[in-house]
Amino acid sequence: MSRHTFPSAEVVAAVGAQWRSLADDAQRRAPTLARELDRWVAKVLGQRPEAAFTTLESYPLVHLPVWAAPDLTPAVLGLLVRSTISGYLYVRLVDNAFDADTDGSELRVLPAASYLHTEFQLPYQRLYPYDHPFWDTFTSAWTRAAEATLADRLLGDPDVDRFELVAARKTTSAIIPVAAALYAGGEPGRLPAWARFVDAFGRWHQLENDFLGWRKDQRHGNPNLVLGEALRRGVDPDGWFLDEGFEWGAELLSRYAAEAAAQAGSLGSPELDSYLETRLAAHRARLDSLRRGISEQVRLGTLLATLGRPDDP
Amino acid sequence: MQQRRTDYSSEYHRMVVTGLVDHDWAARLQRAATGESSERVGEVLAEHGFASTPELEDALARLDWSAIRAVAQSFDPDYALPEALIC
Repeated sequence: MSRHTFPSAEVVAAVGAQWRSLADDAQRRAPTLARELDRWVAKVLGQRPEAAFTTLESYPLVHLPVWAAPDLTPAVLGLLVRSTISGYLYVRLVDNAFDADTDGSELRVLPAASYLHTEFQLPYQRLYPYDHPFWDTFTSAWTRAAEATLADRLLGDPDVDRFELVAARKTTSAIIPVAAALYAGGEPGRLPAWARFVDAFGRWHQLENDFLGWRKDQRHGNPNLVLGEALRRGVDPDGWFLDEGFEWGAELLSRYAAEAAAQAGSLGSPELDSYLETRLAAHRARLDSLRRGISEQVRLGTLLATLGRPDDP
Repeated sequence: MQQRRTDYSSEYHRMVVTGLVDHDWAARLQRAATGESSERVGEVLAEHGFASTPELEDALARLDWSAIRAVAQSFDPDYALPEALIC
């Protein structure tokens, strides 16, 4: 039983307030942009898009700062949440257009990227002057994430080594709001340990994304570790995934989850520990359900191949 | 009854894999097999070249279709889950 509620009421409230504030500001400054952005966001995140930031299955971007610095003031939390919402939408907009996961809606609204990037960066400029060491973390993490995204796309389906070196680092920019929170709380010395957790958790999160999304990536021609592994083995991914690939991926997910949990254990954040316990339990339950389904699907395949096969002429 | 060989390299197996990841076909087969629709199991099976027998229909009705559908929904590219943040 988890001792800490997820999502945190404080974070949910901050997300709601900043979501409304961002929408109001956009409407006032750029009504066309606000309308188009609103449509696109509803398309990719659903009718209650702000709720996507605090669901259990989502990357816990908006919770990381309060887990790293529990005494964060509401004003600073608001700034970090505002930045994170904008930064996520910016990355998602560019990634979707870049990944070909689009029917054209991203290209239609692409000029909104400059607005989102400004709203991503501006809160940090309110917190830290240009020569503050926070900006070193900001620049290196933001650049590393862009480098990883570009290299991942250009290099094609990865093997495990390249996945760990490149693809898993696409989420490395999640350290930015954590760094801002740690500097605000006067504890920048904890940054390396948090960076190790963000890398380990990002590896697991990205693999879960590849594991559940390999058919979508196959359709769009996007790089994917499951497809890379099938390619390396010289097998058809459809059949291999049911026969072996599912368990291969589940085992790797389990290893990455253990590494993320081990890194979290050194951070002294009971809220993070509790979240991970809940998140990973839900993940394992989902895998168990899929395992049962695959077993039944294989049974169905056998039934059709034996009893449903028309007699040879 | 004659025991037929299971041939996993055959077109039949491939149809099952691709057919079930396409959750529409799985859903129709489920509804037909469990009597939730008026469509006959044989008609749905015939679309992919399968023959229907009473033994097969009985076995199909006893499958855990919700588990099969969960697999189809999880991996079908057309079945999006927009409520979670992905990176």
